[in-house]
Amino acid sequence: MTKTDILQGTLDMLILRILANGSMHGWGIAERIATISKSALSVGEGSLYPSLYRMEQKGWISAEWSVSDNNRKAKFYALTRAGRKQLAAKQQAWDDLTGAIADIMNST
Amino acid sequence: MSFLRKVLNLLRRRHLEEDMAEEMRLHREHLLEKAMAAGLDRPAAERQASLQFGPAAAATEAARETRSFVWLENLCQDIGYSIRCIRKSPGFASIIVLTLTVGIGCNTACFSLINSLLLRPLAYPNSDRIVYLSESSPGEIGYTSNGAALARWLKDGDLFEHLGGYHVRQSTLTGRGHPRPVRLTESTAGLFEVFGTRVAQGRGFHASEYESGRGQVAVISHEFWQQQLGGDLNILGEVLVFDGKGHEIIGVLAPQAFPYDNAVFIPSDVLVSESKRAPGSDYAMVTYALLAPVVDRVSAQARLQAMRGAHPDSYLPEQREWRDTVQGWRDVSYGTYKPAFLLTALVVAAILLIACANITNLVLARNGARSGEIALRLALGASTSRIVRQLLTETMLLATIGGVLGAVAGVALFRGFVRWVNLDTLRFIETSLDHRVMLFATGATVVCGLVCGLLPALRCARPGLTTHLKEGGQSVATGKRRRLQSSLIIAECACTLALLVIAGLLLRSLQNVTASDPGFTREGVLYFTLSAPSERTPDAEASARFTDQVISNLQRIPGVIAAGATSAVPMSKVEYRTEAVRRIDQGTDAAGLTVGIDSVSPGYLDTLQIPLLRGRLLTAMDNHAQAPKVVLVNTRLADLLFEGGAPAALGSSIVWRGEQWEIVGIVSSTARYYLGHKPIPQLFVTQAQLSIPVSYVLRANVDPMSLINSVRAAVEEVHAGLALSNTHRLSDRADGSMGLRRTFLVMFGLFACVGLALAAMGVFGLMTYTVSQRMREMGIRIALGATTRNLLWLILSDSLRLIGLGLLAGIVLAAGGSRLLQSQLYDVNRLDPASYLLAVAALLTIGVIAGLLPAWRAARANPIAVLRVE
Repeated sequence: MTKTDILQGTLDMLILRILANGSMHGWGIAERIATISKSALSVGEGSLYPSLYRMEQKGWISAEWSVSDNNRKAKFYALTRAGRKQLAAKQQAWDDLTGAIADIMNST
Repeated sequence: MSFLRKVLNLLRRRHLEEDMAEEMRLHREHLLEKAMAAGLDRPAAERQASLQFGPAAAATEAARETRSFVWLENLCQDIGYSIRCIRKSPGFASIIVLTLTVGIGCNTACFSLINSLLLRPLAYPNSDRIVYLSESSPGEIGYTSNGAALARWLKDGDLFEHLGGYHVRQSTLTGRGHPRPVRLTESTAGLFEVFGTRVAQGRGFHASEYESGRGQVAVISHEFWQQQLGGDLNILGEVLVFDGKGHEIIGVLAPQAFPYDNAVFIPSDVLVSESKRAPGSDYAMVTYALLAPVVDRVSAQARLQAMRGAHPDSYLPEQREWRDTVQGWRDVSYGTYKPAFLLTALVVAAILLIACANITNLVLARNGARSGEIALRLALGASTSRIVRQLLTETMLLATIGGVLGAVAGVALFRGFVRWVNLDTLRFIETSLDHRVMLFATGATVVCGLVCGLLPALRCARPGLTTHLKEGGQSVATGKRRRLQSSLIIAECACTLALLVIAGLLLRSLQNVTASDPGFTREGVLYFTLSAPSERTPDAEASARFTDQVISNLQRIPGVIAAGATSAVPMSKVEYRTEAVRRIDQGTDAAGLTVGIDSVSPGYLDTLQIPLLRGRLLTAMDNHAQAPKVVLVNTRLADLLFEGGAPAALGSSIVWRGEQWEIVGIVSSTARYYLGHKPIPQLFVTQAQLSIPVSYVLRANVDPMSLINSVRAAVEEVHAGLALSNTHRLSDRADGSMGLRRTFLVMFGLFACVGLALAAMGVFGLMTYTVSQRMREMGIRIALGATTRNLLWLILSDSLRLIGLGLLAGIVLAAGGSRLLQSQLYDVNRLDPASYLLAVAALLTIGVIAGLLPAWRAARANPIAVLRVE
């Protein structure tokens, strides 16, 4: 269970992807990242919240106070239209990057 | 978009902080619940939650940074803290603010002056291309030209965009109330165009009106129209009678359209009149021109000089060596004062330096006292840059307050100065508020704040932590800091000494000038001008007779001892005339000596009690047009023109205006333009033989102004309806001629006092600080048996050493700076020992007193009380 550093831009992309499935609160996002990656990735809250606030500033996600499923007060974040566009763009860029790296690694 | 958000977030800061804190708290709670649900007990769960969350403070900090401008928030925090600190030590703050107010105030005022005079464009269009043309004799700058010169200058078509000149003569306005003296300005075409002078009502002159030669029309200034004609709305078309000749008013100028106070303009016929354009003609003119855009002053002068060479028929043979001079408008108006401005600028800069030195010392001392607090903050994790920023903010805040007050004070000082020296009568100078002055004040404030704050702040934020924490803040001043403070004090003393020396030199100079003998009597002397009516003075002989009549009437007034007439009363503003003469044995190709010409009545020299040294005075018999041509000369002319001086000159002949004149008497030389002025060579001739306008002088044994009505009556007897003008006491004029010296003396005296006060404050401040740092040492010494005197000497020797070094440096500085002053000093060597000694004594006394007070306090300290405080 190594804690790997995730680059800032990549973290943004992960958060956007998770929010694409529906709005969620801060700790929910962190848990999901840990769960889906089978604990390979864990996001420190010191990186999570700055990311969230930054993306909120840029208008990619919107925030709203609400009540969570176990009746706790929480701030829910949701993806905006601009956010969706960003996600698509980032996904494309990521695929290009990984594709290029794979090509080199697999070359003889 | 996000930038805007960040700005908005600044305003909603409180709300956002709470929001963020809430969110993080809830997150942590959730983690805690999860851990407890997984079976851990509360303390373990809490630890787990904390570990998972990460360092809270750092997270909050990072999150905060994305939301808004952290640096701005820090700045607001710093400012708040600084305000609280300042509140706690008001004495310290007010001294700094006051010091800076004085420093910035002086500099703002000085810069305003330099700005108005040298940097801002003058108040007339294209002022940087307006030049003043004149003819100069070798070695001098001349200020006049004549009709012949003007005609010659007009020959070069593409040198000037516009060229115009004017000739002024006194006249009497009749027919509108009682007769009034008015100066008529005979102007040529092009004069108005040079200054962009607009006619507000009516029109300017037509080309034909210049040529018709008799000038029956006139254009008047707005001020004349308002003040002398009551703003008569039907003034156009009215005929005003000057000297018996009617002139129709065809135009009124716009307010302040012409840069000088000339009231009435009539067209000059100089360009059609042969006599006025003859070489060496008497028709004296003042000529201005607007250079063509591509021409610069230097090449214009060269071209004019070449043209002069090509037209030898436009000047007298004696004027062969003369040059045509082109001076910029600014230069001719106040160019001679440029060294004085430079010196003033240096002086106020020195004052600001002294002020900054004081403030830096104070801040250093204060930071030293707070070193314990700072060490603690550093130990608790504050970054050095944060500490430096906060200390700097404190200084900058004080600097800003001082700077704003200083700017306001400086502008007020400048306004006061303008009113004091009547600078606003020079219409072409703008004295209104200018953005450059504000920029300067802001820049100076910022620089001062940075200089005074950065150095101490940087010094302070690097102390040895343990030393400070151990000694609880009572550390001894480090060697480096002492050195810095000491050198600042030395610099202050040096600057102050230089200022004192300069003030002393100026004072002695003024004293010498006032006591100097101008060569004539000025107590009880009155002078005035009349414009002689043309019907009484058709020729030279008639003019002389008219003058004689006035003089004899004046002499009959009770109280009048003597009366006379002259064309150039010393120290008056009356027009001076200079012409070239040569010895009879010198060939026509010899360069003549330029001398001042005085056309006088026989009794004039007696009236002013100018002694005759050899030969005889001019008499009534010489005062006829047909009399033999004789002149008197002064000793200066005799010395300059004749090898043997006065004895050789007596009886010799000179050539003047192409004719031979015999020198029958030598008189003593006098100062002509102002007290202390070196005498110029002068020549005296009777009125009948050189008929030019004269002023009348009389000497009385009572205050001459009390006789003014009798004077008017005496003149009235000779010819009714003549107005007196330019009536002044000669003593007033003579004193007034020193007005500028007095102005400079007061200014520099004030600066010197300010510098002295600042230096005293500086010494006092440093000594107080040093003493407070050495209190323990003092306590020990007293306990070991040192007497009050021992301790006093100990402290005092410290300050004496600093002041002594400052004095030495100051003497060197003063010796150098006084070089700029040389032209203003009268009969005083710039290394005059008395001034230096006095300045040294003054500074030493004040410095010793300033250092004595803290020393006294230290010596009286109770050793037990001091030693106990740890």
